Amino acid sequence: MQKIRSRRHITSGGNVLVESALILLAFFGLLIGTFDFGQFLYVHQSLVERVRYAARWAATSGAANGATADQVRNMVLYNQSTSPGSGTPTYFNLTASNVTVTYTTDTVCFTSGAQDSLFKRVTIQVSGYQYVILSPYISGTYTGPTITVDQPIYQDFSSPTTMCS
Amino acid sequence: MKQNHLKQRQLDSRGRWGGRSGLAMVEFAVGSLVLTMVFAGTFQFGYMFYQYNLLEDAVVTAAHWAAQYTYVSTTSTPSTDMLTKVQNMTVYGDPNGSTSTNPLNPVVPNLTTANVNFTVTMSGSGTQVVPGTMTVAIGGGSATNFTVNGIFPSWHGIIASFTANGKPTATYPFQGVYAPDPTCSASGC
Repeated sequence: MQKIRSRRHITSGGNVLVESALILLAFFGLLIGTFDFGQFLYVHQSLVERVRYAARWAATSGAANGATADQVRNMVLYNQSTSPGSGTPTYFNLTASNVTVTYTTDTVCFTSGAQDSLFKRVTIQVSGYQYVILSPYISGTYTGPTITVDQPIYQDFSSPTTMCS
Repeated sequence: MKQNHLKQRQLDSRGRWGGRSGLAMVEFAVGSLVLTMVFAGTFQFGYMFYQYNLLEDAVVTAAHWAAQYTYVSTTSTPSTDMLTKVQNMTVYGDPNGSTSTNPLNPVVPNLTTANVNFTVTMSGSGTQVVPGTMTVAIGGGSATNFTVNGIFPSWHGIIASFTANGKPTATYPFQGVYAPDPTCSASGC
């Protein structure tokens, strides 16, 4: 009786080992995957918030002082309009080449008799940002989705009245 | 009691049939189904929430843009020029929309300008009426309702999408130039 019991015990032990290995693999895969996904969401949302903040700054304080595209880019990278100098870490290691700042001026010619005018807006785009994934089998760096934020700035009242003729 | 577990088909101390072999597969099937559905539901909700957030940002930007644009209509019905531009601003983030020289993607897949509801309220009375507020919404009113799709299709009646019917919405007070065109009729410009 004792013999049978011990043999059974050994067989069971082997099964447990295989089973644990399989389950732990799946469990840790899910766990690390959750961490990765959570980190992605956190970084992505942080970047979106920073870009929105920079766009608001460009439309208000920046517009009042004639901010350049470089200054708006610095707002995204460093949360300040002046570059703090080389070697300063950027927000989540963004690079300047990830950030595109475009000022657009739409010329509108009204047929109704309203004064033809210029409408200025700013577009900030973050593209090609690399996310790090640690999950086994899919680990590596991945290019994140492009973040685009548009912000109307103002109507340019200094526009010449003859621009549409 | 010690020998009992060596014999098959024997009631155990809890009054159940001994042996676990057959149950493992069933348990795994049930367990993995529940787990898969919980994960699918989490992704489903998360992706729809993400798209709603993008729409929210789009309507805010468009309403802000509309608030600065010269208002030429004499009524609360905006000019077609303005309506088109506000709708383009919502969908593409550019009043000129997607053109062959500057192709753009809608902020959320399948969103079209027909889904954008732009309404204006006039304030004041008598001869002193000026544009009051600019409201941009997804769906509702004269616009086509927009269906926000999740990642997975519907399965056994499980929620796979929701309909944007007047929400998200954003309202800005008008801050631009009011240049009413007397040739505009009551039905608009």
